[in-house]
Amino acid sequence: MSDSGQMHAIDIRWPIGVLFAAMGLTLVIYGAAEPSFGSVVPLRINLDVWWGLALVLFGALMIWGAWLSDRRTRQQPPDLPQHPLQDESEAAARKAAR
Amino acid sequence: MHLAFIDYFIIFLYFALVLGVGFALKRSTRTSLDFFLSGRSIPAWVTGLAFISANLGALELFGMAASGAQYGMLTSHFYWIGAIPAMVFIALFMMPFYYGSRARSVPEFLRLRFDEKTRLFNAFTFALMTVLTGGINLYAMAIVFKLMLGWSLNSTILLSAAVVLVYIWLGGLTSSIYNEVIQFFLIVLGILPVAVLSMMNAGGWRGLAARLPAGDLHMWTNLGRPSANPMGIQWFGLVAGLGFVLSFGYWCTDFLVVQRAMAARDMASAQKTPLIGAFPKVFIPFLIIVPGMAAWAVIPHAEFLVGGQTNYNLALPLLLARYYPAGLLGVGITALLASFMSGMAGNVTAFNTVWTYDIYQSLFRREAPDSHYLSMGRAATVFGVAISIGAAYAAVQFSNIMNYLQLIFSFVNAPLLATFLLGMFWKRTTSEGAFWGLAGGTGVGVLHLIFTGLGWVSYPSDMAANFWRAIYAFSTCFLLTVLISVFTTPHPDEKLHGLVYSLTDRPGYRHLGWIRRPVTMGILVLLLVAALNWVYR
Repeated sequence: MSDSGQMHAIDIRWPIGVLFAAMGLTLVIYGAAEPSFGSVVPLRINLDVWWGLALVLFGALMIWGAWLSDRRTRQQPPDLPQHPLQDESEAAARKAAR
Repeated sequence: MHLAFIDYFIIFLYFALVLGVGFALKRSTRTSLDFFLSGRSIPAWVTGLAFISANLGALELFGMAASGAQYGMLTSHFYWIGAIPAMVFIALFMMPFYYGSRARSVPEFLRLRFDEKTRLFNAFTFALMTVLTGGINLYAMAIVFKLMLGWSLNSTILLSAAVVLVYIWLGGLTSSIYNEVIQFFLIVLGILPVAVLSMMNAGGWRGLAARLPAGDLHMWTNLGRPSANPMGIQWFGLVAGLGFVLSFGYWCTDFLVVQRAMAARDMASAQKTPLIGAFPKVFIPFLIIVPGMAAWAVIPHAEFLVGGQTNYNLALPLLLARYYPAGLLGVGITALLASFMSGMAGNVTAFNTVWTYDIYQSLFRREAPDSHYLSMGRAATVFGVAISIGAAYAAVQFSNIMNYLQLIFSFVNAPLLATFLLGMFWKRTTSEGAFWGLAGGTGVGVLHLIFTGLGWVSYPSDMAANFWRAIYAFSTCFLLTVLISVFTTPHPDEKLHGLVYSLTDRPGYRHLGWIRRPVTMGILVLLLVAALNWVYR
């Protein structure tokens, strides 16, 4: 199995994607409502809007990656190899905990 | 600096998400191994980013930007010679033992290779170091936010400690690692605009060259004599002290970072963890140090004055205040908050593991059901956080003592490196040699610290003193260990399989394409660093 980002709990790309998409969206809306161009900023652009869009794009990519990998694991679930180094005591501990 | 409602809203989004992740992870945290080592199931890109992120705390951000403003490109030595070679070394040469031995912590590896007393020596110094460092982190965070935003010390310390406590309690190391990865992206995406804007403002590299003292743009040209460069260092002290002892000591033996690799899901992922971390690490100077230089070049120097004295630590806050409008400022502040909190969380997770496995299980209850150790881990999280809060308040009262403690910690890993190098690569090393070598090396470090404190030994700069202290502590441990080992009985070979280089099979990667093999990645990142050292020589 390659590094698909699939973990024993939730794929970390979900929270990263959600956080940055939400932050980016907030920036875009706020920047559009209250445009500020800063006095010393060398670029005369609305930073909130443009960087907000960049964050939304990054968040969307993460969510897309997480969604793709979730779908892939749902298609071929149980016969994935166990962690190759999982030894007996660990397996026993897991069983006991369940 | 003043935060608007929108900035607080963005900070709120982050807190909500962090706690949400903790609750989501609680369901999958069933065994002690889930809690302390994430069930050894995390893919390499995640552990790799956590590996460098655990070290990319806010103190590092402020300090490196400040050092960039003060010393220029010389600061990049902390990355290109002070981190990357050690990261490649641990990946290629030490990870096969750490991960392959199935030890659950660095002190536990010491027990497998040597004996119980060496393990306990390391477990106690390390546990003390982590809770106090966690406290220093909290304290620094409270001071920074008080200065920048006028937040009260109490609310910053207690609120952030509570959040860290809740998410580690719920998800253990996995929570901590997830937060480190989130923090990594927050720092990169929260600081990148300021890095670009400040460089544009300064007129690019040429503009910097015109505005800063000529020495600020070189890494090696002025290292012939300590007096020729503002850091007061000389090339040998730099290469041996920082490049070898301090950096290898930290990256190769500090459980705080090694724990991330131990959480990887197989040997290949464990070996790739430091290597995957190394690639972004190479570029962090451009994100933090170079903007620090740009800050000194474009911001009037009067703005750095606090009570008549230049305070370089203001470089990063001044940049944020200068370039970021409301909204984006919230993202920048969230990045700083996140890195303070995950810095503390890293210390707490390393502490609860070492406490539970290496101190509690070793001294108090050897055989107990797994669920007992899981509960103990959660309890250790609570008192680890409580001690850190206590340490933070102690630091508020006696900031000098904390500075002194931090100096002590700066060389704890130096003698330990000698113990590990000898233990892993010389099968003749004995338990007695390891223990007394380690104790002697640490003792020499403490003595050296006292002597420099009293002025009996003096150096051109504190940094030079740090480098040489590490060299002395390391050499003492190395020599003592060798000497005592020669006169004592070693472990029989059959007990050392998987623990010593000459008695362990190397992991084979023929099934991986050449580009995905750890060796190739290591060589690539070393070439990259060599090229950068040449460009900015």
